[in-house]
Amino acid sequence: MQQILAILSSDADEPTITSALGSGNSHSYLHPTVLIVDGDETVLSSLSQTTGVIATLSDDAATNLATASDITQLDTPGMATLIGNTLGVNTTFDEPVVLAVAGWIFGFSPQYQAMQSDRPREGETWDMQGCLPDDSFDNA
Amino acid sequence: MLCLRASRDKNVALYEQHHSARGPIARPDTRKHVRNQMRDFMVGNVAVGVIVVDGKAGTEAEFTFGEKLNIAIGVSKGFDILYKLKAVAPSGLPRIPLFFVAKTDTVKLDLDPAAVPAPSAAGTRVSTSAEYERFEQVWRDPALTALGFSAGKPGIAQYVQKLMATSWVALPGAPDTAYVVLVTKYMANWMAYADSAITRLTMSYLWLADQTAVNADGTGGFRGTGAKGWGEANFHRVFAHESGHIFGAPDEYASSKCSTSATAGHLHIANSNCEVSNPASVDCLMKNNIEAMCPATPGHWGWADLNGNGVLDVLEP
Repeated sequence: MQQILAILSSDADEPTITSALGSGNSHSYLHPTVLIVDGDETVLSSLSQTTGVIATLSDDAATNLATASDITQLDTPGMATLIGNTLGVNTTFDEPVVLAVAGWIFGFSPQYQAMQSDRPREGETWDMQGCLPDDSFDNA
Repeated sequence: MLCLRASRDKNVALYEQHHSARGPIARPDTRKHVRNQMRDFMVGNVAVGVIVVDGKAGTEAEFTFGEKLNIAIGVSKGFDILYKLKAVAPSGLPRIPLFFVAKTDTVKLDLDPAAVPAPSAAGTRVSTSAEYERFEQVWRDPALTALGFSAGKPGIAQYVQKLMATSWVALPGAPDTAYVVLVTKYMANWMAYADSAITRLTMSYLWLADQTAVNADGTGGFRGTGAKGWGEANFHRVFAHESGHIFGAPDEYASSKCSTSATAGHLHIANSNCEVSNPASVDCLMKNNIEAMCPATPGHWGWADLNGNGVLDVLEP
């Protein structure tokens, strides 16, 4: 099952989006207008043609984008331009949307995959004795 | 007190209707869903507000764009871990509704990191709530103020209420609960910690990312604290672990001084996998840096139907 990112307009209609999902499932929102969906090509196609969906991006497209350029070297305006050009939309996305979309794309990048394949301290017992104070945060 | 007793959801039937149906459904009046107290169990639509407290330009407290991307994907991958653990919850349970929605606010401060206390040397760290506050308030309160909220706990509460009132476009139903994640490269009293009472967790990215080894005598580690970070690659796992605290799961590793007889979570379930004097303890998220479910954690998170009536106990009226 592939993942799909959908950027929704602020007035997107809930029943319409739900219907467009078809056999797909909502996975999470990374921003109030950025929906991640688990679905196949049919779901991607359906969402792409749905009113209220500004743009969609498949995980394959995200992988290609993240492989073609090192997006960590960009800044927010540069990433906004890249996203706009990739999605073929004229919309100017604000920073929270850019970070949500770019973060998702970054997850498919060679850099992130390499980082995850060489995780430090794999399986170690947490030494997070600072997770909680000895007393209660209620005292703060 | 580890956890806050949550108010019972009066809209369970409506909630179930929204989450089991695939067909068109009506958007409820979100104002009916706003509560002053958040759930202490991991069930329902969970809103997560990430506040990235970005530091003064040119200082160590300033995030790179790549680090911001790692935070964004780390939160998403953290959701994946929690979803994955839900999938391996004990069989026979009723369906566990769980859906994460997030938003991120980035606040740029002109605060010199030198204005924040330096971390305590190995063996001298004080683990009181006042000490956590001594570090955190220096950068947290200006960030909350910049976002238009009050300083301190009132500001956190206001932010959580704003999350509860936020409309995630086309989301069936409103958030059932919410929590705040503060991520910064300013100093904190520990690399990551959670306060379930006000549904806030804090992550010190600088400390978390640092890989300075700890010496045999306990010195070394991040800036001489004696504690090594878990690495940027584990941001999602630390986030998932700390989120586990938000929803009632206690630590299960020996240095946390846990006890198998202690109870935790909304349902007051024993911490049976606590490592202390427990050779049967297994490795899992609340004990280790792995993505496995602890035997007692489903109960701590409210994923239990102890009376076997087909309804999660935490959702019963």
